[in-house]
Amino acid sequence: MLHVEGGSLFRHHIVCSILSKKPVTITNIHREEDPPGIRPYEANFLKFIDRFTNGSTFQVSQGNTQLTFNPGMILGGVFSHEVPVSRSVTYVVEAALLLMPFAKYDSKITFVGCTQSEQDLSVDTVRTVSLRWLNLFGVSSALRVIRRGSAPAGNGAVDVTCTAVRKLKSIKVIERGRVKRIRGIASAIKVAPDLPQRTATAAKGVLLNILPDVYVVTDVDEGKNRRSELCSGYGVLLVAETTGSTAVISQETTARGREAPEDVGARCAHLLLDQILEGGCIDAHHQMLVLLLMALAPDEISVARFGRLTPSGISALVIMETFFGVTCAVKEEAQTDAPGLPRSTLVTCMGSNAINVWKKSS
Amino acid sequence: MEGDDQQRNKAHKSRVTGNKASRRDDLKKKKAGIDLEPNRGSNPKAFGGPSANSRKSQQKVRSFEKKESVLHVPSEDKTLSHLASEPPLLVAVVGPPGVGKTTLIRSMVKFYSGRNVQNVRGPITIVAGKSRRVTFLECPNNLSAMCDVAKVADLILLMVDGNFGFEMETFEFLNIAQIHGFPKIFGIVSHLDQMKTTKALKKQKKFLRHRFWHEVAAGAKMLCLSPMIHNMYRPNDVLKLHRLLICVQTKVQNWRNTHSCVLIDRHEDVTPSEVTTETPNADRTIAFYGYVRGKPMKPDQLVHIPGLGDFPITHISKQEDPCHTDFNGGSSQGHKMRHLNQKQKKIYAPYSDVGGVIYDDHAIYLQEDGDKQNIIRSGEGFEMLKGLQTIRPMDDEEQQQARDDSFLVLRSGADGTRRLARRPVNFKNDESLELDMEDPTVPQDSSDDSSSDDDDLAAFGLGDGKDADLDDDDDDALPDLVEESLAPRLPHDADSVRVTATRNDWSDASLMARVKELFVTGSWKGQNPSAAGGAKDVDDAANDDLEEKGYASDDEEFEREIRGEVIERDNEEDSDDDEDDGKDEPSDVASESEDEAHDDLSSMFPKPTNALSAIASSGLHGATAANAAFATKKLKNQQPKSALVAVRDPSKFASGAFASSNPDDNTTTKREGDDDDDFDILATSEEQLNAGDFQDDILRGLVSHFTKSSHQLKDEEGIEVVDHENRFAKRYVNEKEQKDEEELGAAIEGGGALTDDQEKMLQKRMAKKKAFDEDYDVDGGKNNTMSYYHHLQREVEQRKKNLDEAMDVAGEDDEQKIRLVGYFSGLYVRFVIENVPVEFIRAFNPSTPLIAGGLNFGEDQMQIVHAKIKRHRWYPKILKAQDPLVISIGWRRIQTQPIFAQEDPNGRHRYLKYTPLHMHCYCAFYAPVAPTNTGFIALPCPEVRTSGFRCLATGYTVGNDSCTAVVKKLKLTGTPQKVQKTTAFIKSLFNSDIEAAKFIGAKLKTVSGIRGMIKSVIKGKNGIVRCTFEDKILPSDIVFIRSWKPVDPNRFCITVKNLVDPNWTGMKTMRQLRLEHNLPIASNPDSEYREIKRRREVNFDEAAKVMISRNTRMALPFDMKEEFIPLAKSDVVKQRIVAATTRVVEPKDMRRQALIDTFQDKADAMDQKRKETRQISRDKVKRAAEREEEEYEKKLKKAKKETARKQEFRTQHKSRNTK
Repeated sequence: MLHVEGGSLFRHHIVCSILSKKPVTITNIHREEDPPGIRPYEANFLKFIDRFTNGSTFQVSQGNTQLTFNPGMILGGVFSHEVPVSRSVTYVVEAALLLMPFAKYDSKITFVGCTQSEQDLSVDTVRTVSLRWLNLFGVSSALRVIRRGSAPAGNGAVDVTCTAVRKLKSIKVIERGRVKRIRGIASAIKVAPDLPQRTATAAKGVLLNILPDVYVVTDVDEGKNRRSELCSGYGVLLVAETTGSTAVISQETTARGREAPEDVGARCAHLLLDQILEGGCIDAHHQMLVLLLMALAPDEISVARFGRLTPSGISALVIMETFFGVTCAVKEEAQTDAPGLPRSTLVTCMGSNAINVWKKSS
Repeated sequence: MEGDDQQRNKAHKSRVTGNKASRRDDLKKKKAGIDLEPNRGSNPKAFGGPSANSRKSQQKVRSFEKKESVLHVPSEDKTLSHLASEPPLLVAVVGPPGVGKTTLIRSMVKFYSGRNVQNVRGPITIVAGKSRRVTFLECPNNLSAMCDVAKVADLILLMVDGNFGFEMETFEFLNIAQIHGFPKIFGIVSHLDQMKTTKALKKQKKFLRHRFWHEVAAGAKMLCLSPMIHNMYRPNDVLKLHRLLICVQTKVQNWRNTHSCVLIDRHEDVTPSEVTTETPNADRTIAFYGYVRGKPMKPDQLVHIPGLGDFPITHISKQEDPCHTDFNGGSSQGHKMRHLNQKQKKIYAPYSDVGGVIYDDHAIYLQEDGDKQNIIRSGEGFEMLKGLQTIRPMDDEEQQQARDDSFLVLRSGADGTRRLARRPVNFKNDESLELDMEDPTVPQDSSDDSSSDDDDLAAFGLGDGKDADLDDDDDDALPDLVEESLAPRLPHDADSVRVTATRNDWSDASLMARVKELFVTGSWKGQNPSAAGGAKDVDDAANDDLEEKGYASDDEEFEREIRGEVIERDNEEDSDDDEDDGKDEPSDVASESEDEAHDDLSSMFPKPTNALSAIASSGLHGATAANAAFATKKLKNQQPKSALVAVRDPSKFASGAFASSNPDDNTTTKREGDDDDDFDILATSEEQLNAGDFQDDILRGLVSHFTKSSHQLKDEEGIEVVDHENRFAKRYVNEKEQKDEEELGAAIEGGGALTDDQEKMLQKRMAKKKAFDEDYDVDGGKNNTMSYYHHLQREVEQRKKNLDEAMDVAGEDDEQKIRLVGYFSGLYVRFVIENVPVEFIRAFNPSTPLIAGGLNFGEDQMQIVHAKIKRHRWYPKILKAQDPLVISIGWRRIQTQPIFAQEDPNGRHRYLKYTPLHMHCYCAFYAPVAPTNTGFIALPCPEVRTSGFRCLATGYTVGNDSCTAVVKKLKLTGTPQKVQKTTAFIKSLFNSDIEAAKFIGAKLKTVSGIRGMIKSVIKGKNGIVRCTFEDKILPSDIVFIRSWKPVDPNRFCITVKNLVDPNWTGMKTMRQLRLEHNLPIASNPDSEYREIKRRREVNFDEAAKVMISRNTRMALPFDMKEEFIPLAKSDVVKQRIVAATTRVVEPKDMRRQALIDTFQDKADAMDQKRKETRQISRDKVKRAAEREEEEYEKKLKKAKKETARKQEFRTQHKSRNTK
């Protein structure tokens, strides 16, 4: 029985427990907060896990601050799941992406809830970038946005499909290359269509300074049949592609209250430039995903170049060691010969050779 | 006439018809350009290829098939055997008792080490050569040992008594081996000297060989041993065997590739003595020793010891190799070692009595007057031995120490428990990849709110407002930064991954320009930058272009800055780095180097560099540039190497691009004069390139400049210059690559010596070409299979290369490698296991092979394993479902209760009570999860030595699940209680209302075939249901429901514990129990067959006879119509008429009739009698005639005989007379 603490990596502890088939006890879940204990969205995540697996048991104690989790078999399948509006649907999707390749059946899950929020990645990021990483590990998956939705009403919907594989592939992502083009999606729900336009223009205004191949599309969900729902919002996602065939860097922003769309666009562009300056092949948002997938990869050497490791990246390293016994060699390297730049981190590890034992041989 | 006239030969007549002529014609036409098959294009069908059935195409297919059958999916050796010395080749000697196994091992050991081993107990490891070690293992004659041996052995010497022939054990073992991966097998035939004759010997040999080939592989090695001398096999035979052993290549087996294992050659009870004295029956802690084989072993792994169970490894450590083969230290004389000396011929056999040392389960015994020389001469070994005796399991502190020393530890809590909270991970330094674990430093304010607050970022260590001095002296500043930035996530952090705060101030144009220069591809030179941007291209040439097109830069200051003309700004930056944020305002590289050129270098040797940079930046045309380059080169030769100073890669002046991420070309900073503080900014901490590189850089810059200027020539002078460089350059996305290529081309054309980089580039190019050729040109680019095959092979090679690269980083240090991949194969390890039952120690028998197999994640989880199984064709019985069965699967030997099923065509898995006779069937059993396609073999449980074949069944797994889809048929029957029109109330179908309620909507059927459905339950009537049918049913009908009941196998699974109790039997079958307790077969009286007593039924055939009119019959559909429908009035009517007109017979007539009948009877009887007498007399006559005939035949025969005899006699006499 593993013992971990805190609610910050709740999803990943549960998911890794399932993947490594090790029971886990999580203590001090939001203990110092008010109200203490498991948050509604976390409970909802457990509900999803209950749905997605067969034979998992949960036991909550200590005034909702302690959870004992016993993993079952990963089932997958076709169903729909509703996520509370306090988080985006990607809160569940992110974790589910780790489970789906190891499920017994191919999965096709419809998530209902917010498609964008301040805390989580938007569905566009997952669709364009996260799934791309998953694809690199040999998993074919797709995400389809049925309709968009934002807090407080939510009611957006996405379809996530993912095939079950026998095992992943190992990766070698070292070549960063140079940014050759930047693509973006400015999405909006039930707002004036000029807002995303202006956001996109602002983002382009910043980025065209460094390269001409910038293209931002706008995707406006008018929400025709949802007049009464309070689900408006907008944001922008920018994805930088480089000459290194595998490296992708993405950044997104969501409009805050009373923020000018120009500010939103510029903010996103600047954040993207930040990420580019960091120098890894993988942006800060996907460090955890890629690291955990590396831990699940077959027992071959996987190498990936990250920018600076974020807290979640570090946490991923710890999780890899705790749940899968995968120890990484972490090496900091100067990314170019230019001085004063942040140093990129080269992470090498040998996967734990996770094999999908549930999938039937054909 | 004779002299002058030449002989006139007949003139040659070329053929006008036939093959030759037509061929010549064709050739002529072809030369003339006439189309031979003018319609070919328009009618493809007529000119199709040769038919698939022709002999030629068949031959082709056959040859392809032959080629393909040789190919195999390239398998990767995951054992990392190329990293360290391979583990000893595990040679298992297998055979029935009395066949000479021990003698063979003794002979081999004697051959290798020159020592006599009296009794072979446990594995014996010897050094067989410079790079080869061999472990001999004798397989005892029982099935469990055979299973274990088959799982681990690399090579099997299958011994056969030549005089006796094959025995059951041989085939049992072959079957077991086939299931568990089929290692290499050599056949060894002994006892051939007992054959009586040479002919019989030859015949026997041939028979054995062919049978062996049939079982193993055609052409498998088989060795016949000569008679023994002095109770040993002859050295000649042993030498032969040795030669085979030395060059044997082990097979890459799937299971071994994915699992680690150890053949345990020594164990030690390390339980604290106070525990054992207090409670002698307490569970023990045992240390096991052995070489790791297969996949690397992880420290926190579960191992399965077959015959004992699953155990977590408490502690594992690398030990000194008792038989190491690294002899470099020994032969330091410089000459190559030809053979091993006596000292190097080591032997390691803890359980056998080698060299007077015997390892027991309690202690090590040294026999003082044993083989004295061995102990004394090998003092090192003796020391080691002594050392081994003192080894105790590490306590926690030691373990901690060991972990601290490691190169990268993401450690668990100090108290040993695995906890995740609050442990920062710090890098000690880059080279050793070492992480420095300190006490956690917790950022104070880490709120959920992820505003762009700078403090917040600082808390994460991501913001670097305070790291301004980083650039200045990186050595000190870096750890601080790293420490902060690498703080792991706190338990109460918000669970989000979004980055929402900007780290740098992007309103600064120079930073933006820097990003552009460093990270953005330079291939957009010619493109049109959007009007929105403030910055324009850096490149001169491109700039010219732009100006031509009218896109003049509107931000001149910025452009000048980029070009490096604004010097003061950079000076500022360099000098006041302390107050300024180094990262926020990284200087433009071009301007930096320009700056250097002007500022710093000028003090030492201003001229050359200045000249160079001047050329570069101003973009002079060719001739000048060449001159300048020449001048620089000369200068460079003059100046001393040590005084060389850094200049940034000059190439960027020309191309506007910067070196890409290629680490080789990283960095061009060079500094010698440490006194100059300004240089520190440029000097990276680790990379200090040598002066040669620097020269190359300058050269490179010049060469690329040349190309540029040649381009310009065309523009200015209007001369058509074919711009080769540029044309080819378009292929390269990466500017740097393009540049390098150009430069390489220039170097090759120039014929000068290539620099290192250029040579590297050339090699790279060749490799690329080779790869391309392989991809496309194999067999003329037609054979796709081959190219795919090559592709697969290359993938495997690439993976191996990746691993090697990763290992190279770790270097020579084994500890580091172990950290990264685990305890890889070839290491001699000691691992400690707790809670081993004491009976293991008590019942320990060294001759039973003891292995420990590593388990992967989740392979200890109990689930229902689905498999396909087939009864072994040699096993005399079929298997019964739910009977306990011992199965050897993976590492394990378990006892479980499988159920069998057969898949119906509709996909339903139907329960089978017994396995089919000669077919595979599905089977499901409760067992630890096994990967799909794992083979297994079923064995008898109380392992008795019977004459029959003892492998029950073989199979392979197809999946794991928490339940099964196996169902068995269940028929519920009921009878109608009350029948209305089509509705009936059915009773005795169910026992209760609840039960009945579950079946609402279920389909029904009566015996007579009327279908129906359950509609509702009549409440309170004990399960009477209302049903509707498609027709009215009879009250006597039986109604039934066909349903399927899922069957799950019993959740019973135990590990076979033959190491704890050699006579372990486990669960017994019912049959065994009945035999033991002398019980009859239990019978359910309800299931007995009884005589069926039917109620008297109405004759339906009669009752159902329907009369149909002729017209209706004529109108029936064809298939229902009778063949013949008479024209006349129907029979029925006739019958009716007959019936209607029949007269009742009167008594008088009846009497008359009776009289007539009597007379008639008498007449008949007389007739009969007369007939009989006539027959008798006829028979008599016939018999007499036959007799006469017979007599005549006899006489005729006799007469014939007589004549023949006489004739013979006469001829004989005649011949005698003539003589």
